[in-house]
Amino acid sequence: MQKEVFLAILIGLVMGLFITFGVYQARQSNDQEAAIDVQELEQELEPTSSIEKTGKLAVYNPEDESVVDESTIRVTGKIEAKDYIVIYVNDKPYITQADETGNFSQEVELDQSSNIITIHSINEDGEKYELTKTVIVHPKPLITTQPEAEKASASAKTETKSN
Amino acid sequence: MKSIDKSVKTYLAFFLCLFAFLNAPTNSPTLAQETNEASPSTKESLKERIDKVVEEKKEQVKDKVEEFSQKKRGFIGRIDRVSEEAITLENRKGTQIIPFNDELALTKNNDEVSVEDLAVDDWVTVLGFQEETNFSPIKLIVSEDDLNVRPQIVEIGSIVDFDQKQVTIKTRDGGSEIEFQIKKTTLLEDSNSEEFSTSDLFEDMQCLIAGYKDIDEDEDDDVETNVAIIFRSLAPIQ
Repeated sequence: MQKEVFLAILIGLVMGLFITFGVYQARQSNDQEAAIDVQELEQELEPTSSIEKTGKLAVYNPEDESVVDESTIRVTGKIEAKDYIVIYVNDKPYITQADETGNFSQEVELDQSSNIITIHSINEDGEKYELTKTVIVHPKPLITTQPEAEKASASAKTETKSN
Repeated sequence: MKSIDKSVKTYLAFFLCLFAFLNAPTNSPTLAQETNEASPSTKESLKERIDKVVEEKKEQVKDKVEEFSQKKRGFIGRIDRVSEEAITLENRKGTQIIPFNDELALTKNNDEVSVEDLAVDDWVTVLGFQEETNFSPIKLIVSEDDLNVRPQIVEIGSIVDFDQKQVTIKTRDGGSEIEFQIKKTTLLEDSNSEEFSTSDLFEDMQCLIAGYKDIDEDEDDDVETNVAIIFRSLAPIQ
């Protein structure tokens, strides 16, 4: 009788543990799937990355063929630690150096209208990479938007009436 | 036989009791949670939270859609072909065809021009809006100047020869020797951005040079000269 009781306890224990483990695994898997779904959703909502890369050189800013309204722009990117960076804005070069983490950042002056920005990287051994971006400076809006035009016409009408 | 039945019954009873006991802690919180979730107040607050998140995301999505639908794009190119319907441009990315439409404004020196004023080899700046894969040109600015840049040269190495007007360096990549002209406009600076003069140059000085290639096309054979714009010593000049 004692033997049977002991066997029953043992089998019950094993089965119980097995089921508990099964439930735990299922819950964990559900949590992981939910986390992945949330991550995917967040990634979808993130703005499209404009990072361009060649070899070890990556340039985060500026975006190629972008239109800006300011006369300066910050060129940022990543290369290997302490590598030299030469940034040409049309024919004018700027020299900077990447920090210990490989990141670099340099503010450059833009020419009016078109700017061909070429980013060269060169390390101590003379290994080189380069990337080119086009940035257009255009301070005025390209077109007058409909609401603005309507506003302007409405205010003009009001002024005429008041006169 | 009776003793076997009894032992089987006892066995089953114990088994079921243990099974129920061991599963109780795992299932009870879930049941409790489910019961809590099902309560009307929790349901309501959860719904409010979901609505709030959806509203926030809706705003974000709307902003992004507006941003992308009105994304400005600008580029330059050399006119390769002009027709009544479009112009074909050549640039570093290849060939780009810009169709003419009623919205496209053509300007040259801030004056409005017509398609007839466009000529092959003219350089133009094109501005417009990019909507997914479609580009709508709005402005086309014709330039009298060549918008292309001079060929650039960046080298790192050590000085093997120099005088007041030129410097020859041995590059670190392959050990080749490259000569650079030093002009009045050439900026000579050390690693601390302190300016110095050509009289401070010395053999074996480690340097980084940023310059351009000047190609003289008037001669029978093209003569290529490297001109230094910035000469940087990699160490401080004392």
